[in-house]
Amino acid sequence: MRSSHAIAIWLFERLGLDVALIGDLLEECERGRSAIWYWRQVLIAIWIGIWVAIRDHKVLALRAVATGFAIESLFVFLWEIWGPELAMFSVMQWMTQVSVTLLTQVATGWVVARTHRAHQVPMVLAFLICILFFYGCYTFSSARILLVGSIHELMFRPYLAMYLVTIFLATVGILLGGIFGACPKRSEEADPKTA
Amino acid sequence: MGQVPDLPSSCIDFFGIIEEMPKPNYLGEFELLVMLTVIRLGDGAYGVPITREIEQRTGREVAFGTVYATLERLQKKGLVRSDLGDPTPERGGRAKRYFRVTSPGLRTVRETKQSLIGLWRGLRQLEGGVA
Repeated sequence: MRSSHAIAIWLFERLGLDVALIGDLLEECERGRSAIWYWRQVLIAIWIGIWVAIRDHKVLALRAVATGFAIESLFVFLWEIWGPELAMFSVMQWMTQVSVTLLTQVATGWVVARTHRAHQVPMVLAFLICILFFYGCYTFSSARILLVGSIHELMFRPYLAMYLVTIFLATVGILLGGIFGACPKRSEEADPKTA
Repeated sequence: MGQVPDLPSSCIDFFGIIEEMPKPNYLGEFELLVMLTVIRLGDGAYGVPITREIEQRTGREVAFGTVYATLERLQKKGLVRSDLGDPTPERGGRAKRYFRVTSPGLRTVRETKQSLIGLWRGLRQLEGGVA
């Protein structure tokens, strides 16, 4: 319970949530509540914290989305100038693209977190949701062809796997960048002098 | 890691003004429940008893996250204030956050009560206690 308690505190500090809530949950666990109940409460608190931060700071969320898209556009522009010229598909090309995708997404998440210090992780998540939605719409027709095709044709499956891996890595990259970029927000409990 | 500069101050002022525009101080259903519970508990109002009291009085399960989010919102509106108590071992060394209703908070609860009584009065469908 102690290690999971440390993870919960780590998450709360990065999200700027009140760690007194963790104390309340531990007090309830001492009275017989289960670990499942504890984690359910932690996840509800995190979900509400993120949702409230985005809802109450819509303009900031819009700014985060605009910042993220601007950085993405810059990376696409740079890739078009300096990216490798590979006409034929190869595993090497895909590996290069995936590595570049991962690195650029980490960088994007990091910058979005760093330029939105008031609510770093919620703003990174707002951008992540928007870019996944955008990417989903942008690649909808090709994704549909891959999905339908891979039901009957084996040759489509590796391409579908590559498509899904790319989306997964982009998501992980943005999240990692956001978490690296997010400074833990110490509450007044942790540092009474700042109260 | 080096610090990335934020947007220019004029932009921040603009966004700040929009974010901080005053919002009306009316109480939602759950906000009213929390305010009444904090008033009822008095000096002992912190997360655990507030949540338990609401669960007992309303008969519905309430998440701690919901209670804290509501209390934070009420605190931003200036209707409640909070102080930290001493850390205790059974709470993993974490302090209790005690909440108290402020004078504007009490006034808002009274105003909400008056509004509800005004709406209640004269409704024949709700008289007699049988639906």
